[in-house]
Amino acid sequence: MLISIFILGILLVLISAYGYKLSSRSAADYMMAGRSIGTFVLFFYVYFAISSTWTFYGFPGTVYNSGPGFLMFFAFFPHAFLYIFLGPRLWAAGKMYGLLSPVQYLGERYESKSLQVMLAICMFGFLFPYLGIQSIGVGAGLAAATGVPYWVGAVYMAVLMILIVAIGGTRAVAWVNVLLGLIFSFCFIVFIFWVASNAGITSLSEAARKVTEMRPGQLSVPGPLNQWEPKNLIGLAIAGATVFCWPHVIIGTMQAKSIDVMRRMTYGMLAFSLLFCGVAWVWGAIITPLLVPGLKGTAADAVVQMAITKYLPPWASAMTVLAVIAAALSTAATQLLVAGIFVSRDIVLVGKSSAKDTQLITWSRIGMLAAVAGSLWLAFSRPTELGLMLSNIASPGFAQWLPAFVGAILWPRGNKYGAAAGTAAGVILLIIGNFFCKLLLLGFHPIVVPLVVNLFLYVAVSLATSPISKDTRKKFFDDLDKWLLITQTKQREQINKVQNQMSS
Amino acid sequence: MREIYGHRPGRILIFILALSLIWYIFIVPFVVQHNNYLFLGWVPLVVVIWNIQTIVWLAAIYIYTTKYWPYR
Repeated sequence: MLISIFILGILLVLISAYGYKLSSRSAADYMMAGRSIGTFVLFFYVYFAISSTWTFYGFPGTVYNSGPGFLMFFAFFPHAFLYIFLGPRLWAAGKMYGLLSPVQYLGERYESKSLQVMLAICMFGFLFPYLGIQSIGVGAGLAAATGVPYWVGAVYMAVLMILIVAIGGTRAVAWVNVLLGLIFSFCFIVFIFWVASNAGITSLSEAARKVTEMRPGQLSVPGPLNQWEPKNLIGLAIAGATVFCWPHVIIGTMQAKSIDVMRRMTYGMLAFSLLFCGVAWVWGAIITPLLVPGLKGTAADAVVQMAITKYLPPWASAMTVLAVIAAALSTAATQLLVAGIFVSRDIVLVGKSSAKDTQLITWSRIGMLAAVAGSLWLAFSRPTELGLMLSNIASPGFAQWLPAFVGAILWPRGNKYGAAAGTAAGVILLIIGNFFCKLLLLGFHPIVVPLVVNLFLYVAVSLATSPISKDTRKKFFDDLDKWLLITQTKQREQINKVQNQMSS
Repeated sequence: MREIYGHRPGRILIFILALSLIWYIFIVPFVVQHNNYLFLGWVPLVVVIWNIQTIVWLAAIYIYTTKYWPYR
């Protein structure tokens, strides 16, 4: 098994090296893949940037512990809001003004380099827990499947992700995600049928009946631990609805080849989530509680691996570890890229429009190294179970730039004072409430109170202070809209012309 | 957003999506509490609602973006 894991690593690094060979060595190519990613690749790139180790381990593990209410977190529908309502302006700004990151968009839209740096630091900071999840997942998976120490998997993961991303850039990561996504999907979806068959489960309703007898509340809300009471479930649903503003998801809007690519990818994501999340909750709520009962807390993180190891041949268990590594890498690679872009474009070289491509790429790589070091530290301290590390720490953290981000694109009256006040208050409240004084969160999910305060301050302070200049307003609202309409109309005319020629 | 809000189909889309979002976040957490109903004998109510929510968004977005979206 260890040999096949090693071979996968070599293969991925080779793909990355090939991507490097094809790239034009410019910052736009390294960071944005030349803004030319098509529907198929973008789908895998974004979907498997979201679906990571926690989908393989954390999602079924948390459903196993707390019941199907946790599914409320996995709301893929808000991505449609990102790609249809917000995406076109972000995409157009990237094309028209050459912007390299969504934070840079906000910095220029709000006319503030300080705000740009602040937002980049916040988002960079909250990427750590998420990156840490990937190393934890691989460490736990390898330990469960092969018996090697936990740290071996975590270090393997860290080395591999830094090699892939630092060498190949976005283009290589996008291709690698296609391969990893296919491995991940195959194991996750096919193996559930195989395990059920080998375990003699022929009827899901019969299995569900046994599960509810063994563990009352396993198939209902609030769940066996009474965790998903309305207050917590509302928070979880809000956290799920804000997933669209995760930086490594947003960046896809600036890398797409066209608006049509974003539109088609939205259909694909929503349709695929029905199958993918369906399989995930069946793993966690029905199959594993029946086949591997009695686990608690973080032990449940590896429950899918345990079921596969118990009921399938050794090679399937090895392939599952590969799939987990694939899941982890596809997410971590995208996040690392984004972390690197934030460090170079939005922190170190902020405001330096004349920065050379080599400078941008070098600082990106340094940022990636820092992010990997932070994630490894988190992997070894491992403060909580996987699913909760995501839904209670990383996700609420990313959500703190939601008001500033959405406001920048949809609300011309929003300004830098509102964005800075709201984001700073939200982040501070989240950190203090999560780690020092839970009373501040008023008993809600960690996302709720900080986000409400953030939103209130963003609107109130923006209205109480002076608006952005007319030039900036024209640049980021009127000009972008006009350009989009003209571009899309021209494209439609060309398509109609070709269709008419073909039909005649 | 202006391009969507600026015409009737767009306003209908926004209305449908906003209504379903409010339903999902603020009503569903109460509706599903202590409900032991299993659709087909194995699908909990919260999972049924989650699927319907995703399908509603998929259908609404598909119809709007293929027939009415100014950027189609």
